[in-house]
Amino acid sequence: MDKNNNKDIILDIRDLKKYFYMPKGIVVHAVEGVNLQLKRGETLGLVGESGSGKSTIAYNVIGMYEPTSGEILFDGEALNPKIRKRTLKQKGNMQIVFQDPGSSLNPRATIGKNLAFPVKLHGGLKDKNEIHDRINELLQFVGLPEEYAEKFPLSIGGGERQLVCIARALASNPELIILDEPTSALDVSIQAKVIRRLIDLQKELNLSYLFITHDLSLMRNLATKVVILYLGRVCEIADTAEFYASPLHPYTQMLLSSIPVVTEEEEKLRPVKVESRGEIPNPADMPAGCGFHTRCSRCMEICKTEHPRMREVSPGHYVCCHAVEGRIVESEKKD
Amino acid sequence: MGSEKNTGFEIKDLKISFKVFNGELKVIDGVNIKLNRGERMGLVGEAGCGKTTTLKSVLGILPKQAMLKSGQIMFNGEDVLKFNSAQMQKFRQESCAMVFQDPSSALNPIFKVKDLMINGMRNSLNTKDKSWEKEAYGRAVKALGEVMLPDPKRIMENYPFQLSGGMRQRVCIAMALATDRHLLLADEPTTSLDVTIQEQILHLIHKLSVEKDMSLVLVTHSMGVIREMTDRVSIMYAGTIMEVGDTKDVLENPGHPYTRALIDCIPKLTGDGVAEGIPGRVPDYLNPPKGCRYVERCPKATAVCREEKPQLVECGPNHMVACHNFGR
Repeated sequence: MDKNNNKDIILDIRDLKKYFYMPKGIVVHAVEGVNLQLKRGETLGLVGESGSGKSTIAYNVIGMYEPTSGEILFDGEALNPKIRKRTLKQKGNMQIVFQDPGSSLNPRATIGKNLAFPVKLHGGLKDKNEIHDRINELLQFVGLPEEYAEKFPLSIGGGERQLVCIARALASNPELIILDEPTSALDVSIQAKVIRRLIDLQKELNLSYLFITHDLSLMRNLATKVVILYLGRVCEIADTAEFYASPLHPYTQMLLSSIPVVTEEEEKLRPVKVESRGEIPNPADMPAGCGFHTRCSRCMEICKTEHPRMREVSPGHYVCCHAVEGRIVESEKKD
Repeated sequence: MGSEKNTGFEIKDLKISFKVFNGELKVIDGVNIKLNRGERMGLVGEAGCGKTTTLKSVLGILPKQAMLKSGQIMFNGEDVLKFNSAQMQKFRQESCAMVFQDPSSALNPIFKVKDLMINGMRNSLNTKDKSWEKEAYGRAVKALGEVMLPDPKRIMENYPFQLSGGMRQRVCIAMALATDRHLLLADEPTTSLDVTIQEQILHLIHKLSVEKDMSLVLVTHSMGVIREMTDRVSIMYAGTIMEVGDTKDVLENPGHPYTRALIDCIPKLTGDGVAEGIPGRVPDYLNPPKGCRYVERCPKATAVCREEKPQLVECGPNHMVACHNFGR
């Protein structure tokens, strides 16, 4: 993508690759050259089926995995791939919220204790009262009453538990929060509450979100930019409004047309019915050419042999498909 | 399989409690579901509202702690709950089948698909005939073909872990439908699958239910799935049915405040923003509210709601709602 002035860009992922080496010489190509940019205060939605590499990208950014190649820049500054070599400040600047709040909180510590650890570590607070105040402040941010500090994670509901996880992520005053399917384990009524809170917090604290989900309807209401991933590669990137108005990649169209919707107005917004067929191939045994050609209804000869390059269709709308016309973007290197 | 008797399926006033160490969890509190033959009924509700328990009670596979308080489950004019074990076995063999939520734990990992499928049919077929295994094999291959699995003979030799999630769920459906059934209970069959695979599986279930003139109870928490799949829908909350009606009707003119709130919560493709969500949480089943179980989360709750349990009343053609405030 273009050389934007770097001031705005908080997270810049450049040609990220992550392979997993398995026994018997099997190589799983989890992420295969991804370029992403996230602007300050915005929400980047990463969407894809399971096995498309969404979470792997997040874990690379946060430092849980070490990238095979590629660079990750935070605020214009390259991050060391090894998490141990990152400074405390760098680690505190980005935090992650996982999918299952039940297993990411210590069940034997009260919520206050769960929150106290990052508060002490990143806030450098020592005084008991100060820690107590900070915990209360964090609970307030996510809209939970102060008494919750004394409760145990198991005694509160799933949605509230996820709010505690968000509060914990806020403890280090981060600028970027990675949300790895934070609501897919929750009911819609509770999901709505958590998402509302997240939107409010973003405005209050000027946070940037890297939001991972497989729910395209949720993304419509949340993201400023949507990225569709398939087999570790980016299929389509566009601003949300543009993305939903004119999805171009056959995979995107298939995804959008397979969402079960509730109202008639939504029905009209779906693209022409594309019957979904096949399943995502095994990333250890990638098909040659475009990864999607095994399921694509518009598959041509060239798709089977050559991986398409990223094309800019309109400003800010990038599609990676042979069947779509557009200016080829040079920054996408060989491959 | 007396098909001429097959008039439908009805759950009447079902009440189920669970025994726990400090009392009794009154989970299912008067569920009424009526299903005509060949009809597809959706059962929607949040986690922990007793959808799965209801289905399990039909097949008699409730855990030991469960206590049936009252109720009838009528199938072909007989009460399933009164069946002795031999009758129950027969009911499971011939009339009713269930597809579970998680296909990977529903299939025994140490057997091949072949063994799983043939064993499942052991009781439904006449085993006195020596060639029953051959027939079972043939039926299994046919069933796998019906669920649109490519190359069924190869899949028969595979172990479940060699298949993907979507394929495993297809195998589960094939197992359920290898012999003729009148009623299929599908317990969130697509929750653990991706949207594109979900669409394929739902499409398949729909097609099979039409082809085989089979009644379907589809449990899910996704309103979208309900809209695409079912003729009628029951909205369930905390072990009670809140609203029943034709799917289109219920989604467009929800009568119960809970249904309305639930629909509003769903993120829409139109991008109108995100709703507030429903405040509060599902009531404590140890001491459930005396009246309407939704009372603590309901914005319109009145005194009568606290005291008296609302009954399902007609609020339109084929549309019933259990709310004191309806029509006021």
